[in-house]
Amino acid sequence: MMTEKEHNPGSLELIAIHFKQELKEVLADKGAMLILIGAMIIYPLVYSIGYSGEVLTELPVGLVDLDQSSFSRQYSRMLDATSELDVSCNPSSLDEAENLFMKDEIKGVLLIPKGFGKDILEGKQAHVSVYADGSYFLKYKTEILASNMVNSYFNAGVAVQRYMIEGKSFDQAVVASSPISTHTHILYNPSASYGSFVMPGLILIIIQQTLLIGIGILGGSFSASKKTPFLLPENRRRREVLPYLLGKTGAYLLVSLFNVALAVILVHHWFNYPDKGSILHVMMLLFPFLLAVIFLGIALSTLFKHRESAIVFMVFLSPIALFLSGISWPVSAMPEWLVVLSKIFPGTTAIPAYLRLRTMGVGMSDIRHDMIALYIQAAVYAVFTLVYFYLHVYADNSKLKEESHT
Amino acid sequence: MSIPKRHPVFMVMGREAERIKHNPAYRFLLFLGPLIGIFLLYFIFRQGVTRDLPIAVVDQDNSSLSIKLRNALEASPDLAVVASPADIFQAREMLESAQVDAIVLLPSGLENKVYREVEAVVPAYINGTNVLTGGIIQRAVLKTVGTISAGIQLKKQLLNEKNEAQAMARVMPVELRQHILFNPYGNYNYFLNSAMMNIMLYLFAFLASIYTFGNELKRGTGRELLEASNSSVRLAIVGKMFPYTVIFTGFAMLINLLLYEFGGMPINGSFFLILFGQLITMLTYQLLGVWLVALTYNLRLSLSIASAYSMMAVTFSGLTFPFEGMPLVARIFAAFFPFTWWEKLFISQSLYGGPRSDALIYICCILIFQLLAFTGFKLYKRRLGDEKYWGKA
Repeated sequence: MMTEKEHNPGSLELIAIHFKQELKEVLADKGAMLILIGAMIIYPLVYSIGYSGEVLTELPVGLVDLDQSSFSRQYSRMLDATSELDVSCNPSSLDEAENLFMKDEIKGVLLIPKGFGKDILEGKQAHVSVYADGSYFLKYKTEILASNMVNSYFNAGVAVQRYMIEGKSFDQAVVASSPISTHTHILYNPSASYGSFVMPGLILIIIQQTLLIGIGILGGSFSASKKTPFLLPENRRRREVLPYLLGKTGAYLLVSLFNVALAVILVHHWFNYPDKGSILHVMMLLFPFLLAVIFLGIALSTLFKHRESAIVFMVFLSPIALFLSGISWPVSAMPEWLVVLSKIFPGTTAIPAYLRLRTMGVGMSDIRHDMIALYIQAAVYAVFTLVYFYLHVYADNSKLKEESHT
Repeated sequence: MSIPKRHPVFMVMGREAERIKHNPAYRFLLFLGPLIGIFLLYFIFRQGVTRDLPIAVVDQDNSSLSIKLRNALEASPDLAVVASPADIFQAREMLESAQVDAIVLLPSGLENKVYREVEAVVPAYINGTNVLTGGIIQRAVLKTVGTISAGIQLKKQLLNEKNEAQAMARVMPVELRQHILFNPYGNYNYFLNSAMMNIMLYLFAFLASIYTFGNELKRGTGRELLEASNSSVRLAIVGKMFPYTVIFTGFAMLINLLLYEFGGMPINGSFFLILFGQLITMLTYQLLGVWLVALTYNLRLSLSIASAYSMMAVTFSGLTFPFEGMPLVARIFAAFFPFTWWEKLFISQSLYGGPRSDALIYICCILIFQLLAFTGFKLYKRRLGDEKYWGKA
């Protein structure tokens, strides 16, 4: 340590020294490597594989056909023909169907009651019952939407035939059976696939949380178990605070760039996630996001006495940060105070903007406000950290003076 | 001393209580952390059903029919018409800046077309970025416009001297009756919330276990621990785990209270089995903590692995994205999380009212993980006694 006193490094040199020092520490710590780099390789890949099915197809359902008419058989064939459903068996009663459901052999049940075909022939209203498992949202949605679609087509077929019997042409009959029709266009994610919906935002949450935890693991700069990070003698340390913060930030930015290249570019490419924004715009948005996260991480890390505490205090917030960002649960359904509180995480601001940029392909001017907010956030966290560091150095200095007085 | 010597288990427990008293991280893991986590989740999901999703209606027709359609959309509980932009370009801007989630266009000549019996189309453009809200909006728009359309047909049929039942049968030859099973309120928040609250419990049980067992190695206090337990590693583990098990059982009860008592979640099976399964899963995670520490003898690494492992469990529990849609690799992978089996047990007992025999199978699957953890006991003892493994981080 004596050697450092021999020369007087300039500010840029100090930044470089701290930058190298911090990188070395990252590489030397197994736990930090696992969180900062390992997790970024494992998480996006593992999650993407889990969601790679994207949409549910051929969900096995049981059809209880108590009618056994040509109409009910046609209905059954139409259900089976959808890409969503697969009529895998025909239980003889609802009880039998329930048993099969409990054994997990079928995921849903449809019932065509006796008299179905007769009612249709007589011009009475017939009905079909669909029983969908409401405990899994996607299964429920798939079965309900598919059976609704089949029912509409079946109805249209019957209605058109009746109008034609009354002497209308086919085209007239189609219009008469549906005076107003709706064409719904699902924009930005036409196949409504789950992976494309959840992964892009999830990747940003992973980047945020791994950075916060990783920075915490490497330790508060003034934690008990570490020697002082400063190189200059105590009376000149004030000059070193800013270079120290910048060097540290630079090191984490470098690590993040690696993660961004992997998760934001490669994983997106491999799993065909929506990518409508230009990569330059994406980077322009991610830069203030990463800065804000890193400054927040450094600020938080000063709170932990032991390095492992960072995991203990931060991990449980990961799923909460995910929900608060609004990707899987709409923000409008949350209490106001939570929404305000959630702005502490840069991800809450960055993710909606990122999704608009990347999935919807909006221009930079549409996310201007979010970018400004992120820069302000980064600045606020940086100032907090600097003030804390200065106070710490000041306290050290005055302690030193006191000691020299006595 | 005249105090009669206590059983080693109590010695270890007393020692553990002292440690908890002196380190704030233990207190966070045991009290504040789970409390914050559980209540934040409770508030996030409390409102439940998402209602009033913002949409824009572009009315180019300005007819009594288009106004009727607009009002019907407004009246739908799932939708809120928050804007009426003059043209589709303005509406698109609102969609892109996330002010609205969908645009419904009522094109000019809509009413006229309906009167002339020419095909009239109402296009709806829905933001599909969020599959959940997109699905809700799609359903609501289809239903609303479908109802109005059916109303028009019905009127025409009635004018053609048919009675109401005949007219209804004409408009809708087959009525589809929809039954949502196991989810009386059509509310998805239960499932997310119950899974997330419980994973929070297991996460803290897991981390706390690793933290306390790992700290013995990190701080090199292993011999002292073995001394207290009369050099029995089993007694040492039981004694150390006990205070955590008791406190986390309290949190398990809190979760059940919030879900069943305040959240109105149904119990169609046996509450006893749910609680039993919950405690078994919690114990499993605690024991896996010991195993992980014995294996890695590195506190920080164990904590990192444990966090990754618990967080992944949600994705692979089949709750958000069902097993049926996963590739085979992912389905096999899913079996390696105790949480997967817990979630099956939970849905079977709480919602399906499924047979008890199923529940027992799931519990046995969870117990297999415990067996695995028991293999780590001897190893942990060796680590406790050997300075080589101390202070690694």
